[in-house]
Amino acid sequence: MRYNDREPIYLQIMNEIKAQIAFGKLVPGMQLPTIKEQALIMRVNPNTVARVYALLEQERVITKQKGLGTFVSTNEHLARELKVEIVENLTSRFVSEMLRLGLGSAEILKYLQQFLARAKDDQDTL
Amino acid sequence: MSEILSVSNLVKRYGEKAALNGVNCHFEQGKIYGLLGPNAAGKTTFLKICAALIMIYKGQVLIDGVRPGLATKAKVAYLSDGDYFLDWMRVSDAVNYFNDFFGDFDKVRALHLLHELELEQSSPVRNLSKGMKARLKLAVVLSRRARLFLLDEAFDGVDPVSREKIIDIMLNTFDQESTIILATHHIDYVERLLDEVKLLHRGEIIREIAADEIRQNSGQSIGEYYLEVFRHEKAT
Amino acid sequence: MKKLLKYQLMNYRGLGMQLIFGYVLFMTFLGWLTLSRTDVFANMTMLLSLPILVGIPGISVIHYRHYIPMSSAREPLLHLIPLPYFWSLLASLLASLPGGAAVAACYFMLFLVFRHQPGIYLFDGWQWLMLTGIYILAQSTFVCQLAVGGVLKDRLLWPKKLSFLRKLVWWGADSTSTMYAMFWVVLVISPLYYYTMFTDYIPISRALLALSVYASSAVLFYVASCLFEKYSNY
Repeated sequence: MRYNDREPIYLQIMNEIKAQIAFGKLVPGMQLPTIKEQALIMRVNPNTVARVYALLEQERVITKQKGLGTFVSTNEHLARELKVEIVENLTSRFVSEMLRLGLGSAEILKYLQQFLARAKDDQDTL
Repeated sequence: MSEILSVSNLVKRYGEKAALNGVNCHFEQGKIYGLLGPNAAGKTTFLKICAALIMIYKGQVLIDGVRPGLATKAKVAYLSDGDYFLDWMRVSDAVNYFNDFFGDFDKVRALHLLHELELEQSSPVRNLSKGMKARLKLAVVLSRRARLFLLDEAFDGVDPVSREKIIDIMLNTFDQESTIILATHHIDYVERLLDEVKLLHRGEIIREIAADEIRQNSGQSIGEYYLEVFRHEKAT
Repeated sequence: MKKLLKYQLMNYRGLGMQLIFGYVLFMTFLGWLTLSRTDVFANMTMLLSLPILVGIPGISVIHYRHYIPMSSAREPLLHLIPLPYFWSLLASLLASLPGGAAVAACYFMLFLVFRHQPGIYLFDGWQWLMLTGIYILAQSTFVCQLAVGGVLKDRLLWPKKLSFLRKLVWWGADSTSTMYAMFWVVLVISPLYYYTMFTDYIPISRALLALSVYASSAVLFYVASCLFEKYSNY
């Protein structure tokens, strides 16, 4: 995982785990690595991982089962909810940036449609 | 969170010069601290006092409530900058020395680490390259289950591969019962390791702040924060 | 303690020791060569065997190098282990004895081979006791000097005019102290050596002299160990 040293690391890891759940890499009920294992995999301070797990547990994204480990919540709507959350964040960031540059809603839509059309063409030609 | 190291009004003078000029700070167990500052800020002096190498100073230093001395040497692991082992030692001698004198040494782990770090048991220490020496120092020191680890410039002159391996060992060593204090000016290597940083300048602690707080409050990396603080210090 | 001794003895494996023994053997050989090939005059053996004795301070410095600040920065391990300094010093002392004995053997060998020379005689028991005592005393003064120097060097604020005194104290604590070794040699070691080797008349009884030498060494070592325990300054 690539980190940005200018943003809180714990937030970045939380978002990464949420994205993995949203896009199916982690499925409901799947076991997560222990805090220490995760720290080694991600090469960060274990306290950071501990914080992430605590916060995700608070948000009911993961559950800790005593003696067994930490698991992704078995909430079947979880993936969809997280996906919505992530997409909304991305969209909000994109729109904010475009607005900041001075584009209006109509222009934003136009650029978006053009880009998507080109992307579809590229895919068709492959 | 219990306090493992507490320092009040620590002053250390060399003749008329004060290497440490009234240091006040606390370190909790289960955290990784960065002790950052330019050369001659007093980092090495501070660590040596905690390691009981320097016992002449003013002020109070308590490790688990006890002054540094014979009793604390058994639970404090200090790693110095530069050479560390006795010049006649082979790698196996270094391991045996630690095993013989430190009750908290885990020989099995040390041997495993040596193997992982590609250190040959029979190599004389003085023939090792700088990177290999650093690997050996860390393998041996971090195989102790110490309460307090004082690591002075663990990454100096170390190649990137050795560095990554060393960081892995540190992450593996870490547990809730112990504390690691890293004194370094290679901030970029330790950005993701540190819970908290303490900045030392001209013998005084000028900032104490959590790593993620720096990022949250000012959108800066620890390195950028450090530069900003010290540029400001230079200007005043 | 046994473990400390084990590691101290391993110093004999080091490069420094090898150099010293090489030097000592070479000077012994040179001495023997000179004496067997030239016309010998009185006390020539004694003269030629003196360079061998230079091995003695060399051995001391190696065994006590951890207490010399400049060297201890490179090899801090001895100060990090949780054992009282008393045992470390004792281990250093015991470990240095074989080295001293080896040098003495070379020294003595020349005497043995050339004992027919005028003015040369073999040592008696008391002289061996004294020579060993002087060896130990030399080490104890060296170590005590390092301990006292370590305590004094940063503590005292010298006025500008006396800064040369401070430099003197600092040098005594920091360097391998060649100059200080000479000081002790002149003040204490040489007179004792003279009384041991060259004269039948000494102002006090032989037993008392030997006892003073050993007792002083014990006191100096003990003082040094207390100072290191409470006032290390590395």
